[in-house]
Amino acid sequence: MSSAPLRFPALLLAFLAALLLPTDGSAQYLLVPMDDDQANHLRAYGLTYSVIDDGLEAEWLLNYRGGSFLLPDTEGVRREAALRGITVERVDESRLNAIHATIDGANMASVPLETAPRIAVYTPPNTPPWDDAVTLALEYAGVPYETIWDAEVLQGELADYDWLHLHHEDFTGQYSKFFLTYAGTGWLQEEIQRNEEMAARFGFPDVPELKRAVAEEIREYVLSGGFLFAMCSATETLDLALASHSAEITAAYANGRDPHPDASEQMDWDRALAFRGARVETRAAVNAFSDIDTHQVNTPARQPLGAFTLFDFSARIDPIPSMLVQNHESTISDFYGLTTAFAEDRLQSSAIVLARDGERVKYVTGMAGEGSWTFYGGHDPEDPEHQIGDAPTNLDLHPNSPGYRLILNNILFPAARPAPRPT
Amino acid sequence: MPCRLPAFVLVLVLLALAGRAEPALAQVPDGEHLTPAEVVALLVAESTREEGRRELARLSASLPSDRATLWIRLLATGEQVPGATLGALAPVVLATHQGEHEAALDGVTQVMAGFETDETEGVPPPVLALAAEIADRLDPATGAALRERILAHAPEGMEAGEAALRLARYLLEATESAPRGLRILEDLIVAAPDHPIAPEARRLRQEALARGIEPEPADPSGDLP
Repeated sequence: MSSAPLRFPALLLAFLAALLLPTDGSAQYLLVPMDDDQANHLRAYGLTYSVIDDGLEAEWLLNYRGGSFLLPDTEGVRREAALRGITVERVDESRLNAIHATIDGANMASVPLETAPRIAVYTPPNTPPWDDAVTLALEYAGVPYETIWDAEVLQGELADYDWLHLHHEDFTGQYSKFFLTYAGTGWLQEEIQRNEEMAARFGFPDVPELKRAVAEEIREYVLSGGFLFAMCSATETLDLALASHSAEITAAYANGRDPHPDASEQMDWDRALAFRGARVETRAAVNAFSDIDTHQVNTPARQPLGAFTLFDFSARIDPIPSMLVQNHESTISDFYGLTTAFAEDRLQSSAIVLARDGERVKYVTGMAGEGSWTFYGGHDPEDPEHQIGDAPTNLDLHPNSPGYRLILNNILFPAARPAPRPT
Repeated sequence: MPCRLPAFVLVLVLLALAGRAEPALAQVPDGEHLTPAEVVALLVAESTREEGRRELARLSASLPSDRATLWIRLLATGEQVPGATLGALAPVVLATHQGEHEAALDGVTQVMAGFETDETEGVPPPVLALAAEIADRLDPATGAALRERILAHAPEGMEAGEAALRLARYLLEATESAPRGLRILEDLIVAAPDHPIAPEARRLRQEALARGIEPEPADPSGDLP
């Protein structure tokens, strides 16, 4: 049977269709620019998370326009982008080729994002009188998470999660030495009671022992392949707890025993994740944990804030640190926390510095066993002198916060499958 | 003009309420402003309407922001409707300005009635928007109903975005209507993500979601088995 009679109508229809189709009808991808063109950087992470959580594939274009994302162009994704106020650009095949050509010719890389990580935030089961930047960022970006605390950690539930964030816990069991300023406040008394009950429930003699056991579980989680992200005092105190397994470092009010006069010499830094050789601050009246922190914010030796600068890594050779520093700004105003930044000479040699202000390291990562840890000093990137009792930061006022972006880079990092290193 | 007679009667009533029945004809020196009643008198009379428009612009700029909104809206409406309609609406705005909300609502209802004949295409959306603004002060449900009319008859018009936003805000106040309010907000954002009111719509949406409200399905009948 000849097909000739159909040819003319078919061509005509094709011609008419070409005329009638919208010019962007052939778009297959949505580019989420992460440079200054982006209206809401923080929510862009939540959109990307939701895409991979829905089983769709996404790409993270490292160093391309501030670390942009490439998402499938579906009605649902476009709708979500609009609802969340996220800037997207429709990309057809030819533009996609041009983007990939640009990436191939520069210090850039494309990393597939495949599996949405299961996220846990370690935080007490009440509302403490301070907020947590990571929780704020997750809520604002629309990234789902669950909260866990000591009981869940000790019962082995960390294995249920790919990514763990540590709240502003004091793993030395000294309640962040808050008694110096807040003795008698209801929230501190409640915190003490809750921790003592938890220690008794699991058969620990005191809270420092409870916290050390929790720290050990977290260490095992990392060694087994977990992704750990900690901020503020959780960074420093986690390692102090791990390294003090045979040292008495806590003040007497925490466990009824005086700290050992040579506590610093008794520390076993091989157990720690990030730090080494620190001098432990055992004096109860000094509101600091050790000399790891460079700013000593609540002591007379308080140092002023500056600005920290992100390192520029090779996206192909070092994709993991590259992911962690994707940003539209390279220099960011510093912000205080109980631990604000880390002394470089207190870092283990394997640590990879991601951002620094001179010799003060603000942001650092490293591998441990099958997993990784990332520590980010300070409390709230958009509230440099956040005080206990202050209102939480309203991220609607900071949708482009470069400091908060660093937190959210960590969320997507476990979703990435970097290409093998070139040999 | 279908609305001329009732509007004219209304003008006389409202101007009497305002204590002024004659338009001001003299040019006003720079730096001085006519009173709202004097501006309205200029707008009502066809012969002084153009002068009235200029004075309306000056009046709008001189009033405190909380008092100027309705006059600014009248100014904008006047650029989109026939001069006679502007003349009919001006006393209505004056009545609202003076706190005589029932008289204002009656007045604007009469102005709208003048359009609702077979000879016209219905009430122009700018008039509906102004009427909704006036109605809000006395009866928000009436204001919401007027915005429903804007969305039904002129969904692509200039007034549709603000009408949708304000209707959604009204619907979100009541538990039973909140899902529909949220649906209207979402449709508004998706239809015009870069519209100047989109950020406010997103903020309202976030508040609604935080209250646990879920949007009404886009097509309720489509979800039935």
